[in-house]
Amino acid sequence: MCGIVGIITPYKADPLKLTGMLSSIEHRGPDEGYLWNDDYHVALGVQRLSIVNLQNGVQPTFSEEGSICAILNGEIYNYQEIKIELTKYGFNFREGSDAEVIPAAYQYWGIDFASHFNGDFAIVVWDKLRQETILVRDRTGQKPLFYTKSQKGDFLFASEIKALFEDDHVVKELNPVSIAQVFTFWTFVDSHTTFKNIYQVPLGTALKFSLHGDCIKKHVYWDIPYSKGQYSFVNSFHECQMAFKEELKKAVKIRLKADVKVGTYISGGVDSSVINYIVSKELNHKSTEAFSIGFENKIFDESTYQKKLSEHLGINLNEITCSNQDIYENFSNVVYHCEAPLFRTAPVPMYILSKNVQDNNFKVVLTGEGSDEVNWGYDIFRETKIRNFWSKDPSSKLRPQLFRKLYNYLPQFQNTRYLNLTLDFFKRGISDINDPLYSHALRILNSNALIMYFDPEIKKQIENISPIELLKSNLPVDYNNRTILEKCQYLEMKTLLSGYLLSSQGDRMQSAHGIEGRYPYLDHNFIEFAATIPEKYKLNGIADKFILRQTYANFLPNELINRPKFAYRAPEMEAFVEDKHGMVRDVLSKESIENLGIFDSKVVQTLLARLFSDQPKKFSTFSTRDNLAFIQILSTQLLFHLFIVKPKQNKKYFSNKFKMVSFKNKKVHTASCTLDSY
Amino acid sequence: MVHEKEQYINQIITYIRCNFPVAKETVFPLNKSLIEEGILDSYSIIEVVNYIEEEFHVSVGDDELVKDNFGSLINMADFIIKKSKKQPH
Repeated sequence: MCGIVGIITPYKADPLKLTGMLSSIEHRGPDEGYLWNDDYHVALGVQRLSIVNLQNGVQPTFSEEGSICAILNGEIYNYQEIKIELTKYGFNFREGSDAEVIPAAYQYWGIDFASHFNGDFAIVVWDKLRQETILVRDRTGQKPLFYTKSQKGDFLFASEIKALFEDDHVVKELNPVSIAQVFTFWTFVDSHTTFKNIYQVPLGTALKFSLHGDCIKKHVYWDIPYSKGQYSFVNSFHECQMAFKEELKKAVKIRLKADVKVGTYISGGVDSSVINYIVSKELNHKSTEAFSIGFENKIFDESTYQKKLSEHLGINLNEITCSNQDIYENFSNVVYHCEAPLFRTAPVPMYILSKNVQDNNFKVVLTGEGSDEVNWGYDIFRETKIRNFWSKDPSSKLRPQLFRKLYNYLPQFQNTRYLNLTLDFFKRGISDINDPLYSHALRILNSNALIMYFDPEIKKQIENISPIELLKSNLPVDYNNRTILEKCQYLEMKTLLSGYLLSSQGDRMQSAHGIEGRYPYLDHNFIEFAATIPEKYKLNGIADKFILRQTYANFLPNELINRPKFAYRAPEMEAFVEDKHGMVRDVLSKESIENLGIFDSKVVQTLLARLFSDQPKKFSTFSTRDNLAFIQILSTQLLFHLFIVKPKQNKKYFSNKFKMVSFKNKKVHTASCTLDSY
Repeated sequence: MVHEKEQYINQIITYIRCNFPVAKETVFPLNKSLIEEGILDSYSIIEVVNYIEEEFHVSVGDDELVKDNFGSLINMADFIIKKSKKQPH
């Protein structure tokens, strides 16, 4: 993980201006800081977390003659293969780092260069001859990259929004249109962010900008693959399993490449169990240690399974436990790092976990994230299948009973008394199978109802900018060629995975403590392989992740491999009931709500009354909708407080902690900065 | 009878307004499902059923927890009237 920043200006660029931007994201790469500027318009900066090639990782990297310059956050795992290929075409390489291949790859392949990379990355390329900037993100959106144009006309970009706010000419204003998207899909659509006029590069996309910061080309170099009706291994499940095992092993192996210690996460579920098995047994990676987090509240706790796996594989397990108080105490910091409204508290334990990884001197962890999307593990795949099945005989009493199997952890389903009423909820729109958002329609309806919390004036302002229509307009032209479950996968990966799981629950929580998460299930070769295997191998009846479970059944304890999906969750509203420091009462006060102006303070007060009610609750928990609303509103209000009302005081940034990079006589030189501060 | 029905409906609306976050300008449809209209979620309806049992002193059998009885405000009021006749307090 690194942090990257830059400025392209029609005026003269001052590299020291970047010191504030870099310092604000120092947590992403605490090892070294680099600054560079060309003769006039451009300045780039990198805060490096040294993982590969610890001695020779100076950035930016340059083309041989120096006209192309690049900075990288993340990893290009196949850089050695790329070097071999580009060497054949006459390119020479000086050092050993992965970032070094970028200028040559751009010179040879043009704007499509990232399609040749296997990795997780955010890249900026400055093309001096054309006076153009290229911003690129990896295929699944693992690494962030934001950009904006300041009121002064400067084009700025950075790994985190807080770095952009270091420039006084960047306006800080929350965008109700984007917030409404989060209240609908739990994440932003396309390039939107929390703030007006600040955008994120969409996943799998390269954007080209002019010297004046105008986007002049959008190139989508990769999109979520699907079968196109052509399936492999139709007649042999066994052969498919062999290929599955091979592909996954390759994906894990390249992610163990590092010159520092690599750890793993153990969640207690089958996905991370398989990754840990491959690391410790198939690849015999002995130096690995595992990290896990449990909960004091046993409803959420999976520590028994975490221990079981580490004992089975003989891996040293570093365990910690999260309490309701931990959720409360860390929530504000977590929101600061996420820079986006949250819809659940689940990022908080990940924040605490990554701190423990850092405290144990690990910099890299492999996780099981992405498996539920690629191997079809989420309830939403099964829910979609059941609803589709029910739609063929809507009067059937038996077909909807399958929901009981699926949602046995919800109170509505535990109490069979309420089953009929609850099933009415799932019956809505079951016959609209041509709706492009069919799989997500219920989630969207249930979440979108929370727009009722918005101030009536704001509601009027945004009613013509429907998040649902925006998402539909962003779907690819071949979207309808996908099956109903492939559409479900597409939506899940384009919204929740990239916008939340890999960001608020992934990159941001890891980089807050200077660690890098790596996701074998999101290797693009593995995703492409999984897209071509028959659907019944992934979702067999309503048995989820079928091929994954079957393939590793002989290598892992039965109770782990056949363990039903256990949704990773953390305590929500109940963690805030005590409100020890008055944070909730302060941030959600009538005055504060009216000050931001997005929400209707009267409706929010009803929700608060539910939270702080003295009456004993008839039911053990708050409803899903209450929890969603509360966390979304609280986090949005916190964003307002943390970035606008009371922004963190700027530290005095000393430039002498950065190295100035220059490129002369076809060589990269570094020197300490001479000015003390700015 | 009509008066009684209106009164029940208003009582239920007041209960929902006081206990669930509902936007001020929300219009409560009388003959549509409150779940389908997005006013309540599938979980909140449990609380409403509970309220009806306690407030109107009616007991709701498992087989009565269906859309015909709880699928709209009118259905709920009709159900209360029907049950009150059967089990005078």
